[in-house]
Amino acid sequence: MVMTTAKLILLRVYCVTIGKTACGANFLRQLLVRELITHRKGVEKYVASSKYFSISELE
Amino acid sequence: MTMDSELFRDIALSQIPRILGFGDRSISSKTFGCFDRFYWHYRLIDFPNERFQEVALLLGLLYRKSFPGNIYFGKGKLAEWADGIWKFWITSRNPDGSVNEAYPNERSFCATAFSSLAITETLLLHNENPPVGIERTADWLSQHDNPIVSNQQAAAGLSLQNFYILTGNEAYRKAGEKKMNILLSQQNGDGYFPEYGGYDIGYLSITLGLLAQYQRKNPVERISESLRKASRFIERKVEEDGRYEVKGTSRQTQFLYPYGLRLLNSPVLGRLMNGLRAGRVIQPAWLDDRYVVQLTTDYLMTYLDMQHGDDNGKTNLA
Repeated sequence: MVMTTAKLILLRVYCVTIGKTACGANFLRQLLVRELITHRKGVEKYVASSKYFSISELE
Repeated sequence: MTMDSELFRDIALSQIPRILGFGDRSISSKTFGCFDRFYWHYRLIDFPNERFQEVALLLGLLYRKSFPGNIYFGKGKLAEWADGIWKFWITSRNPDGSVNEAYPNERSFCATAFSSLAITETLLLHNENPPVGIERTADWLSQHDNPIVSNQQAAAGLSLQNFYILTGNEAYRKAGEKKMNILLSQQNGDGYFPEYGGYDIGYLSITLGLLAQYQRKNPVERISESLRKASRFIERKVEEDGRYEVKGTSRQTQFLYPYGLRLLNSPVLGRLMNGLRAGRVIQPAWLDDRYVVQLTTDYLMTYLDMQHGDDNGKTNLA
Protein backbone atom coordinates (compact mmCIF):
# COMPACT_ATOMS: atom_id res chain seq x y z
CA MET A 1 0.00 0.00 0.00
CA VAL A 2 1.48 3.33 -1.01
CA MET A 3 0.46 6.89 -0.41
CA THR A 4 -1.87 8.39 -2.98
CA THR A 5 -2.80 12.00 -3.58
CA ALA A 6 -6.31 11.40 -2.29
CA LYS A 7 -5.02 9.81 0.91
CA LEU A 8 -2.53 12.60 1.44
CA ILE A 9 -5.19 15.27 1.03
CA LEU A 10 -7.42 13.41 3.47
CA LEU A 11 -4.59 13.12 5.96
CA ARG A 12 -3.72 16.79 5.73
CA VAL A 13 -7.35 17.91 6.09
CA TYR A 14 -7.63 15.69 9.17
CA CYS A 15 -4.33 17.01 10.58
CA VAL A 16 -5.37 20.66 10.38
CA THR A 17 -8.92 20.12 11.66
CA ILE A 18 -9.72 17.31 14.08
CA GLY A 19 -6.06 16.36 14.27
CA LYS A 20 -5.17 19.69 15.86
CA THR A 21 -6.73 18.48 19.09
CA ALA A 22 -4.90 16.09 21.38
CA CYS A 23 -7.73 13.56 21.12
CA GLY A 24 -7.82 13.78 17.36
CA ALA A 25 -4.05 13.36 17.13
CA ASN A 26 -4.13 10.43 19.51
CA PHE A 27 -6.90 8.71 17.57
CA LEU A 28 -5.02 9.06 14.31
CA ARG A 29 -1.82 7.78 15.84
CA GLN A 30 -3.54 4.72 17.28
CA LEU A 31 -5.27 4.05 13.96
CA LEU A 32 -2.00 4.28 12.02
CA VAL A 33 -0.11 2.10 14.49
CA ARG A 34 -2.89 -0.44 14.30
CA GLU A 35 -3.12 -0.43 10.50
CA LEU A 36 0.60 -0.27 9.76
CA ILE A 37 2.16 -2.20 12.62
CA THR A 38 0.24 -4.13 15.22
CA HIS A 39 -2.61 -5.64 13.21
CA ARG A 40 -0.65 -6.57 10.14
CA LYS A 41 -0.80 -10.33 10.50
CA GLY A 42 0.93 -12.19 7.71
CA VAL A 43 1.72 -8.92 6.00
CA GLU A 44 4.90 -6.91 6.36
CA LYS A 45 4.80 -4.38 9.15
CA TYR A 46 5.85 -0.81 8.54
CA VAL A 47 9.31 -0.06 9.92
CA ALA A 48 10.83 3.23 8.85
CA SER A 49 14.45 2.35 9.66
CA SER A 50 14.60 -0.89 7.70
CA LYS A 51 14.98 -2.33 4.22
CA TYR A 52 18.47 -0.97 3.75
CA PHE A 53 20.87 -2.83 1.51
CA SER A 54 22.52 -5.80 3.16
CA ILE A 55 25.47 -7.79 1.81
CA SER A 56 23.54 -10.98 2.41
CA GLU A 57 21.20 -10.02 -0.44
CA LEU A 58 24.01 -10.84 -2.84
CA GLU A 59 24.43 -14.34 -1.46
CA MET B 1 44.98 5.72 20.78
CA THR B 2 44.17 2.33 19.31
CA MET B 3 43.36 1.33 15.78
CA ASP B 4 40.00 0.10 16.98
CA SER B 5 38.67 3.49 17.99
CA GLU B 6 39.86 5.07 14.77
CA LEU B 7 37.40 2.89 12.88
CA PHE B 8 34.42 4.60 14.52
CA ARG B 9 36.04 8.01 14.24
CA ASP B 10 36.78 7.70 10.54
CA ILE B 11 33.34 6.39 9.70
CA ALA B 12 31.69 9.20 11.66
CA LEU B 13 33.87 11.93 10.15
CA SER B 14 33.20 10.65 6.63
CA GLN B 15 29.51 11.55 7.03
CA ILE B 16 29.90 15.09 8.35
CA PRO B 17 30.06 17.02 5.07
CA ARG B 18 26.96 15.19 3.86
CA ILE B 19 25.11 15.86 7.11
CA LEU B 20 26.09 19.52 7.19
CA GLY B 21 24.55 19.81 3.75
CA PHE B 22 21.17 18.91 5.23
CA GLY B 23 20.98 22.19 7.09
CA ASP B 24 19.92 25.73 6.32
CA ARG B 25 23.14 27.48 7.27
CA SER B 26 22.14 30.92 6.10
CA ILE B 27 21.74 33.03 9.22
CA SER B 28 19.41 35.49 7.53
CA SER B 29 17.02 32.74 6.45
CA LYS B 30 13.66 32.28 8.18
CA THR B 31 14.42 28.56 8.39
CA PHE B 32 17.99 29.03 9.62
CA GLY B 33 18.99 25.99 11.65
CA CYS B 34 16.43 23.66 10.08
CA PHE B 35 18.05 20.40 9.03
CA ASP B 36 15.12 18.92 7.11
CA ARG B 37 16.23 19.64 3.58
CA PHE B 38 12.95 18.47 2.11
CA TYR B 39 11.25 21.24 4.06
CA TRP B 40 13.53 24.30 3.86
CA HIS B 41 15.31 23.66 0.54
CA TYR B 42 13.25 21.44 -1.75
CA ARG B 43 9.99 22.80 -0.26
CA LEU B 44 8.31 19.54 -1.11
CA ILE B 45 6.68 19.08 2.27
CA ASP B 46 4.65 21.37 4.46
CA PHE B 47 6.26 20.74 7.84
CA PRO B 48 9.76 19.94 9.17
CA ASN B 49 10.61 16.53 10.59
CA GLU B 50 11.99 17.56 13.97
CA ARG B 51 14.13 14.45 14.28
CA PHE B 52 16.60 16.13 11.92
CA GLN B 53 17.29 18.63 14.71
CA GLU B 54 19.03 15.84 16.62
CA VAL B 55 22.08 16.88 14.61
CA ALA B 56 22.62 19.53 17.30
CA LEU B 57 24.47 17.01 19.47
CA LEU B 58 26.71 15.85 16.63
CA LEU B 59 27.74 19.42 15.85
CA GLY B 60 28.20 20.18 19.51
CA LEU B 61 30.59 17.26 19.94
CA LEU B 62 32.55 18.22 16.82
CA TYR B 63 32.82 21.81 18.01
CA ARG B 64 33.97 20.94 21.51
CA LYS B 65 36.14 17.84 21.15
CA SER B 66 39.60 18.01 19.71
CA PHE B 67 40.81 14.81 18.09
CA PRO B 68 42.79 13.82 14.98
CA GLY B 69 40.92 14.56 11.79
CA ASN B 70 38.38 16.86 13.42
CA ILE B 71 38.64 19.98 11.28
CA TYR B 72 35.45 21.29 12.93
CA PHE B 73 36.91 21.71 16.41
CA GLY B 74 36.49 25.26 17.68
CA LYS B 75 35.11 26.55 14.39
CA GLY B 76 32.81 29.46 15.11
CA LYS B 77 30.48 28.53 12.27
CA LEU B 78 29.68 25.24 13.93
CA ALA B 79 28.69 27.01 17.13
CA GLU B 80 26.54 29.39 15.08
CA TRP B 81 24.80 26.54 13.26
CA ALA B 82 24.32 24.51 16.45
CA ASP B 83 22.70 27.58 17.97
CA GLY B 84 20.35 27.85 15.02
CA ILE B 85 19.47 24.15 15.26
CA TRP B 86 18.13 24.19 18.79
CA LYS B 87 16.48 27.57 18.31
CA PHE B 88 14.64 26.22 15.26
CA TRP B 89 13.60 23.19 17.32
CA ILE B 90 12.27 25.38 20.14
CA THR B 91 10.24 27.63 17.87
CA SER B 92 8.79 24.95 15.61
CA ARG B 93 7.39 22.74 18.37
CA ASN B 94 3.66 22.29 18.76
CA PRO B 95 2.09 24.65 21.32
CA ASP B 96 1.97 21.81 23.88
CA GLY B 97 5.75 21.22 23.60
CA SER B 98 5.57 18.07 21.50
CA VAL B 99 7.08 17.82 18.03
CA ASN B 100 6.22 16.19 14.70
CA GLU B 101 7.97 13.65 12.56
CA ALA B 102 5.57 12.24 9.95
CA TYR B 103 2.72 14.77 9.59
CA PRO B 104 1.55 18.12 10.99
CA ASN B 105 0.18 18.14 14.56
CA GLU B 106 1.36 14.57 15.02
CA ARG B 107 2.56 15.03 18.62
CA SER B 108 5.04 12.20 18.13
CA PHE B 109 6.25 10.57 21.33
CA CYS B 110 9.25 9.16 19.47
CA ALA B 111 10.32 12.44 17.90
CA THR B 112 9.68 14.42 21.08
CA ALA B 113 11.69 11.97 23.19
CA PHE B 114 14.68 11.65 20.87
CA SER B 115 14.89 15.25 19.70
CA SER B 116 14.56 16.66 23.21
CA LEU B 117 17.21 14.19 24.35
CA ALA B 118 19.64 15.45 21.72
CA ILE B 119 18.82 19.09 22.44
CA THR B 120 19.21 18.71 26.22
CA GLU B 121 22.46 16.77 25.82
CA THR B 122 23.72 19.61 23.63
CA LEU B 123 22.72 22.25 26.18
CA LEU B 124 24.52 20.28 28.89
CA LEU B 125 27.59 19.91 26.66
CA HIS B 126 27.75 23.67 26.12
CA ASN B 127 26.86 24.40 29.75
CA GLU B 128 24.03 26.59 28.55
CA ASN B 129 21.08 27.75 30.58
CA PRO B 130 17.85 26.15 29.49
CA PRO B 131 15.99 28.37 27.04
CA VAL B 132 12.69 29.90 28.07
CA GLY B 133 9.76 27.63 27.32
CA ILE B 134 11.70 24.41 27.13
CA GLU B 135 9.76 23.09 30.11
CA ARG B 136 6.69 22.64 27.94
CA THR B 137 8.39 19.71 26.26
CA ALA B 138 9.48 18.23 29.58
CA ASP B 139 5.92 18.56 30.88
CA TRP B 140 4.50 16.90 27.77
CA LEU B 141 7.00 14.03 28.00
CA SER B 142 6.20 13.58 31.68
CA GLN B 143 2.54 13.10 30.85
CA HIS B 144 2.98 10.61 28.01
CA ASP B 145 4.33 7.09 27.70
CA ASN B 146 4.82 4.53 24.96
CA PRO B 147 5.66 1.37 26.88
CA ILE B 148 5.26 -0.99 23.94
CA VAL B 149 8.19 0.68 22.20
CA SER B 150 11.09 0.34 24.63
CA ASN B 151 13.69 2.44 22.83
CA GLN B 152 11.34 5.42 22.81
CA GLN B 153 10.51 4.94 26.48
CA ALA B 154 14.23 4.86 27.30
CA ALA B 155 14.86 8.04 25.31
CA ALA B 156 12.08 9.82 27.16
CA GLY B 157 13.42 8.71 30.54
CA LEU B 158 16.94 9.91 29.76
CA SER B 159 15.65 13.16 28.30
CA LEU B 160 13.68 13.88 31.48
CA GLN B 161 16.78 13.21 33.57
CA ASN B 162 18.53 15.85 31.44
CA PHE B 163 15.64 18.27 31.91
CA TYR B 164 16.04 17.79 35.64
CA ILE B 165 19.78 18.50 35.46
CA LEU B 166 19.12 21.62 33.38
CA THR B 167 16.22 23.06 35.37
CA GLY B 168 16.63 21.56 38.84
CA ASN B 169 12.96 20.59 38.74
CA GLU B 170 12.67 17.43 40.83
CA ALA B 171 9.39 16.54 39.11
CA TYR B 172 11.31 15.80 35.90
CA ARG B 173 13.74 13.49 37.69
CA LYS B 174 10.83 11.58 39.18
CA ALA B 175 9.04 11.45 35.84
CA GLY B 176 12.17 10.08 34.19
CA GLU B 177 12.57 7.51 36.94
CA LYS B 178 8.97 6.42 36.48
CA LYS B 179 9.53 5.96 32.77
CA MET B 180 12.61 3.84 33.40
CA ASN B 181 10.75 1.77 35.96
CA ILE B 182 8.07 1.05 33.38
CA LEU B 183 10.79 0.07 30.93
CA LEU B 184 12.50 -2.24 33.42
CA SER B 185 9.22 -3.88 34.37
CA GLN B 186 8.66 -4.79 30.72
CA GLN B 187 11.99 -6.56 30.33
CA ASN B 188 11.43 -10.07 29.04
CA GLY B 189 12.79 -13.04 31.00
CA ASP B 190 15.25 -13.69 28.18
CA GLY B 191 16.68 -10.22 28.69
CA TYR B 192 15.33 -8.13 25.83
CA PHE B 193 13.18 -5.04 26.08
CA PRO B 194 10.13 -5.53 23.86
CA GLU B 195 9.43 -3.57 20.71
CA TYR B 196 5.79 -4.07 19.75
CA GLY B 197 5.68 -7.33 21.62
CA GLY B 198 8.86 -8.97 20.39
CA TYR B 199 12.60 -8.47 20.30
CA ASP B 200 14.53 -6.39 17.83
CA ILE B 201 18.33 -6.37 17.91
CA GLY B 202 18.85 -2.94 16.37
CA TYR B 203 16.43 -1.18 18.70
CA LEU B 204 17.77 -3.19 21.63
CA SER B 205 21.24 -1.80 20.92
CA ILE B 206 19.73 1.70 21.06
CA THR B 207 17.90 0.97 24.32
CA LEU B 208 21.09 -0.42 25.86
CA GLY B 209 22.92 2.81 25.09
CA LEU B 210 20.17 5.00 26.50
CA LEU B 211 19.74 2.96 29.66
CA ALA B 212 23.51 2.83 30.20
CA GLN B 213 23.73 6.61 29.85
CA TYR B 214 20.89 6.99 32.32
CA GLN B 215 22.70 4.66 34.71
CA ARG B 216 25.76 6.91 34.50
CA LYS B 217 23.69 9.94 35.52
CA ASN B 218 21.48 8.16 38.05
CA PRO B 219 23.16 4.93 39.27
CA VAL B 220 20.76 2.24 40.43
CA GLU B 221 21.71 -1.42 40.95
CA ARG B 222 18.46 -2.64 39.44
CA ILE B 223 19.40 -0.98 36.16
CA SER B 224 22.88 -2.53 36.19
CA GLU B 225 21.40 -6.01 36.54
CA SER B 226 18.89 -5.29 33.81
CA LEU B 227 21.63 -4.11 31.50
CA ARG B 228 23.67 -7.25 32.15
CA LYS B 229 20.71 -9.42 31.21
CA ALA B 230 20.04 -7.46 28.03
CA SER B 231 23.70 -7.51 27.13
CA ARG B 232 23.84 -11.30 27.46
CA PHE B 233 20.78 -11.57 25.23
CA ILE B 234 22.34 -9.54 22.45
CA GLU B 235 25.59 -11.52 22.76
CA ARG B 236 23.66 -14.69 21.99
CA LYS B 237 22.17 -13.21 18.84
CA VAL B 238 25.03 -11.41 17.11
CA GLU B 239 27.58 -13.46 15.19
CA GLU B 240 31.32 -12.96 15.04
CA ASP B 241 31.07 -10.84 11.90
CA GLY B 242 28.56 -8.47 13.50
CA ARG B 243 25.56 -9.83 11.60
CA TYR B 244 22.42 -11.29 13.04
CA GLU B 245 19.28 -12.96 11.82
CA VAL B 246 16.76 -10.26 11.02
CA LYS B 247 13.85 -12.53 10.16
CA GLY B 248 11.74 -13.23 13.18
CA THR B 249 12.61 -10.00 14.94
CA SER B 250 9.71 -7.73 15.67
CA ARG B 251 10.96 -4.71 13.72
CA GLN B 252 13.52 -6.24 11.34
CA THR B 253 16.09 -3.50 11.75
CA GLN B 254 19.55 -4.31 10.42
CA PHE B 255 21.84 -1.96 12.31
CA LEU B 256 23.78 -2.03 15.57
CA TYR B 257 24.31 1.11 17.62
CA PRO B 258 27.75 0.69 19.22
CA TYR B 259 27.71 3.21 22.09
CA GLY B 260 25.73 1.06 24.49
CA LEU B 261 27.91 -1.93 23.62
CA ARG B 262 30.95 0.20 24.45
CA LEU B 263 29.52 1.41 27.79
CA LEU B 264 28.74 -2.19 28.75
CA ASN B 265 32.08 -3.56 27.54
CA SER B 266 30.17 -6.01 25.41
CA PRO B 267 32.08 -8.42 23.16
CA VAL B 268 29.46 -7.59 20.52
CA LEU B 269 31.35 -4.33 19.93
CA GLY B 270 34.32 -6.31 18.64
CA ARG B 271 32.03 -8.39 16.45
CA LEU B 272 30.55 -5.22 14.99
CA MET B 273 34.05 -3.95 14.28
CA ASN B 274 34.86 -7.22 12.51
CA GLY B 275 31.85 -6.68 10.30
CA LEU B 276 32.71 -3.04 9.63
CA ARG B 277 36.28 -3.86 8.62
CA ALA B 278 35.01 -6.57 6.29
CA GLY B 279 32.36 -4.26 4.83
CA ARG B 280 29.65 -6.71 5.77
CA VAL B 281 27.44 -4.76 8.17
CA ILE B 282 25.36 -1.64 7.91
CA GLN B 283 27.18 1.57 8.74
CA PRO B 284 26.05 5.21 8.63
CA ALA B 285 26.91 5.68 4.95
CA TRP B 286 24.43 2.94 4.03
CA LEU B 287 21.52 4.64 5.76
CA ASP B 288 19.18 7.21 4.27
CA ASP B 289 19.16 10.88 5.26
CA ARG B 290 16.48 10.29 7.82
CA TYR B 291 18.60 8.05 10.05
CA VAL B 292 22.23 8.77 9.22
CA VAL B 293 22.53 11.54 11.85
CA GLN B 294 21.64 9.34 14.80
CA LEU B 295 23.97 6.46 13.90
CA THR B 296 26.83 8.82 13.06
CA THR B 297 26.44 10.56 16.42
CA ASP B 298 26.50 7.17 18.13
CA TYR B 299 29.70 6.21 16.30
CA LEU B 300 31.35 9.47 17.33
CA MET B 301 30.31 9.05 20.94
CA THR B 302 31.72 5.53 20.88
CA TYR B 303 35.06 6.80 19.59
CA LEU B 304 35.19 9.59 22.16
CA ASP B 305 34.46 7.18 24.98
CA MET B 306 37.13 4.79 23.76
CA GLN B 307 39.59 7.69 23.73
CA HIS B 308 38.75 9.60 26.85
CA GLY B 309 36.35 7.37 28.76
CA ASP B 310 33.72 10.09 28.60
CA ASP B 311 30.89 11.12 26.36
CA ASN B 312 29.91 14.51 27.58
CA GLY B 313 31.73 15.00 30.84
CA LYS B 314 34.91 16.67 29.67
CA THR B 315 35.22 19.35 27.08
CA ASN B 316 38.35 20.39 25.30
CA LEU B 317 36.91 23.79 24.53
CA ALA B 318 36.21 26.14 27.42
